[in-house]
Amino acid sequence: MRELLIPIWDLPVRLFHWTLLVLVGFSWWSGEQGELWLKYHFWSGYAILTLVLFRVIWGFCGSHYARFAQFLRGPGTVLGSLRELLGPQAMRSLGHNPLGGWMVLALLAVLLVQTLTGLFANDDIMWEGPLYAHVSKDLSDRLTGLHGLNFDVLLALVAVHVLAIGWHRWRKGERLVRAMVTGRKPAPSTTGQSAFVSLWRAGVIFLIVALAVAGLIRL
Amino acid sequence: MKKRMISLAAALALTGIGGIAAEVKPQDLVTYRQSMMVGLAWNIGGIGAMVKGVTPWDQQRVAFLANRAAQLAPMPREGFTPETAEAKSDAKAEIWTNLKDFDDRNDAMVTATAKLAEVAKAGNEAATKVAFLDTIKTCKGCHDEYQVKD
Repeated sequence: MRELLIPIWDLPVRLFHWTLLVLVGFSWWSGEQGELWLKYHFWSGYAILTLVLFRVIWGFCGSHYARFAQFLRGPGTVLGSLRELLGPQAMRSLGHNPLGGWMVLALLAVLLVQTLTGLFANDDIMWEGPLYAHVSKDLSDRLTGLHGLNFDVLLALVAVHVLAIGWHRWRKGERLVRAMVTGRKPAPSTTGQSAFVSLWRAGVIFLIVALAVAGLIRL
Repeated sequence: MKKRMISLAAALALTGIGGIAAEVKPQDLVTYRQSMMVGLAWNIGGIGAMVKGVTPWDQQRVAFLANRAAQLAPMPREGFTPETAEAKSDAKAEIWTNLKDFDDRNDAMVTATAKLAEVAKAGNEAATKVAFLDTIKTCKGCHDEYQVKD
């Protein structure tokens, strides 16, 4: 039987996801290198900040399955989703499941803290974030420390995220990576289908956010 | 202990700081070494701005800053004494258990900075940049290892 695949993730969500993966990886590497690579570490950080802010706005006015209101559920539903995840039955969620929904929010929050602290950070040698001048050296030092600690939190969340994807793949038979590439997920019927919001809307929001970030780092 | 403090004070007296004090307060040693590092960062940072392209490259200015950095480079080490372990600073306690490594890193920094001054004076821009990167690697290496980051 051919499975029915219906569109769930719109292009902005998918582009956001994979670009973010590449940029976070690059930021990690360039941050470890230090010295002249930090220049590109900064750029990568601005790009991540832009992406995250875009995704937050898209969570309010993007396509159906991109919206926070669609996937953020109360604790009862989340616990139910956890039982479902550990049990033998297939997951019923078409979009993010209630557990994964909170992971989306957690990742966005941690990335926001990471990029914002980076703007104020310094390395005591030759690099200062673009907003370093607006805070005291002491505060900058502390935000730099937080930038390092928070990155470990980010890595831990990413590890859980990836393990969960593996769990879905091998225990539940769900191919979530493929879904994030093609945007389509198998469904029993087309009832859950919802039209994507116009890409123009995404483009305009992205442009505004990019300009805002460009303005922010020049403050 | 007392004897050690006196010889320390004597050593510091020879260098001209805290010279009259019979005993040097650990916190003053921290202030001393931090001040030297701030001075070092000032000069290194000035070259860094040129390497980054924030300010235009000026070989003479680089040589001048590098020369000052080379003079400052050996100075902070004197402020790292076991007495300062309890003082308020960003220095990790591991310094005192890995003193050999700490000293090796310090020596590498002093050597790299001296080399930078030499190369900068010779006047080749590309070589100066390489020497500069070699120098700040020694700064970063030690900071990564022995500086508290929160």
